[in-house]
Amino acid sequence: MQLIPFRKKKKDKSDSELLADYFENREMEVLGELYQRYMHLVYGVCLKYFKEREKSKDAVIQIFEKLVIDIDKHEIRNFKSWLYVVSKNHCLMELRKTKPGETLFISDENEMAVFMEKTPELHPIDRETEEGSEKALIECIERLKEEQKRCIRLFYFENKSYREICSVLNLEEKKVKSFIQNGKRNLKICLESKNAEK
Amino acid sequence: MPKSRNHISEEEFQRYLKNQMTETERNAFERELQKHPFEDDALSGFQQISPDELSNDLNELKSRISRKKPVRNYRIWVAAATFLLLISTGILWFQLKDNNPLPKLTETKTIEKQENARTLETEISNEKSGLNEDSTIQALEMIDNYADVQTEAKAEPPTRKILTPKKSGMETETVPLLQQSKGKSNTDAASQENMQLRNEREIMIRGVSDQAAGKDAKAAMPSSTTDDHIATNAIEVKGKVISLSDNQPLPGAVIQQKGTTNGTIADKNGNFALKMNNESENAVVVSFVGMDTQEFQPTSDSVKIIGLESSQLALEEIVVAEKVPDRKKQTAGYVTAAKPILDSPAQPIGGMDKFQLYLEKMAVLEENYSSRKVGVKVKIKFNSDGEITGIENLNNADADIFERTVKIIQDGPEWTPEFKNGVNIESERELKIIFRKKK
Repeated sequence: MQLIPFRKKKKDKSDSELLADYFENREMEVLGELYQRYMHLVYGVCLKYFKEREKSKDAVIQIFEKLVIDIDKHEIRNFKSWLYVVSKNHCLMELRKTKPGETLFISDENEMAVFMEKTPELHPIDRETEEGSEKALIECIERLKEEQKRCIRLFYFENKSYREICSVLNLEEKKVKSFIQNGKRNLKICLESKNAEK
Repeated sequence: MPKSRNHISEEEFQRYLKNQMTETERNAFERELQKHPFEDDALSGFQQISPDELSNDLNELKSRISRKKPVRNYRIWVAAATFLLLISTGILWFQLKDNNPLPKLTETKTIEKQENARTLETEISNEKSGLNEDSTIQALEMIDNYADVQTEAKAEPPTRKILTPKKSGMETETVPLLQQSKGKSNTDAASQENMQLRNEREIMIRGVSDQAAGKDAKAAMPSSTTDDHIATNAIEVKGKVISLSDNQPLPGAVIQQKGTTNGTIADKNGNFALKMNNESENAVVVSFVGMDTQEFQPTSDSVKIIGLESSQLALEEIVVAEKVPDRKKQTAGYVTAAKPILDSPAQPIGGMDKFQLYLEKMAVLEENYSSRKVGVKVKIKFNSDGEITGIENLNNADADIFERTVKIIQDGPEWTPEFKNGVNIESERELKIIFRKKK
């Protein structure tokens, strides 16, 4: 590869480039490189569900093996989102197996398709701000419940970390996250109704 | 913070987990995670273990994956396995073809006769007779002798020996012999004689097989001539197996001597011939898949038509459901399982019973509390990933107690989302917790 100056090194290729490369040449190394980019995330998700290190490590390997087989079955546009869904499904399936009376798991194709077609939509507050929408956003924030309002303001407008918000408001981190999530949800509802009014 | 390659690296996670970031950096990182649910989930997982354990595990995983790479040339193995399977199937098929005795016997008889005819030719050439009549007589004699030889050969699994000499080979051999015997170099005459002799041969063959055929009305096997030569306490049961519903033959029907491994299979016309040692002791069992089995006592030289009836027993129908979408873009249905799964509500990991025990353990009142026990009724809302999106106080329980309840639930095990019609969905459920004083 070093002989040809225009060929990018594997590390610099984008996900879709690596995927295309794999489909053309069928080299396992290419797939391995792609997987290793997100392997830490797969491990993290497994840890979240299993809470055990060994089980999670085994799952990471199993998911890679599954990936090798499934990669031909779908048209994958966004590798990262697809990998996320596959990992979550694998974890949920494993957890269901430990319960008696339940055996196999069918994944819904539409669910898979959604993640393949596009990246998930971002909440307005997470997006780069657009003119006009900012005003609506501020109005909606005003309407929030006290704690949700405060958390959102501290997090998004004063750029405070969860830790700081915890100490300022005397709340636990889980609660802070919860208020932020609920606040975002209410904001979304409020913004959508405002959009409908226009 | 966001890297050019659009995802957050391990180093950044490590820095966050080891508290090496400033508060501003932390906020930026946390805000970034709001945009990436995959990373967000991963972080929750990472927070279960220590940062050092995390880096060890990830390094271990990296080496495991690299080791895996060369072995996993999946497609090549599949191709090789399929190829081997085809080859072995082919070999097996050829073996079975050779071993199958019944349909070949008429042919073998013809071949035997040709072999026979070869010896005839040699006889002729040796004795220099050249006359048709004499040769006919001699041929007949030879055929009788040959029949003896043949039956002995038949006592063991026979057909292999007979099949080996090829027709074509023999025919070419006979011609030069003839020419030799005539001592003439006149090829026309020789070929004429050859033709004549061949015709004679054919007639002889036909005659013998007619003879053989004449002895049993239906059997395709001309082995009846051999009856006399078999040991006296052995009999041969011949017959035809048909289906009673439509009078069609049942090829592949199994005909067995009851209680033994002696058996045979009906040919493509339903015909069979089974040799048995002792006519009085064993019955004969005739069976076919999906039909009721028949039994009968054979008598020597009997030719039976066995009719089988469809069995009343039927196997349970099994329906395999395949989920296929009606989206036009889809090229193949993605199915990971063939069995539909039961719907299930949202449940805590580890089971509801274990969860109840956990609740009981945690829901303890202080000694100096005003009442002996307090009941709290809450509504828990879940999203389609099983995460708790809200907890509502349904029975207006005391704020402190409710707060404790929320904490207990959040500190408890994770939940799997409700599963309905093959999909994870949002759901909510009510839960009642009774706080009591410790005994």
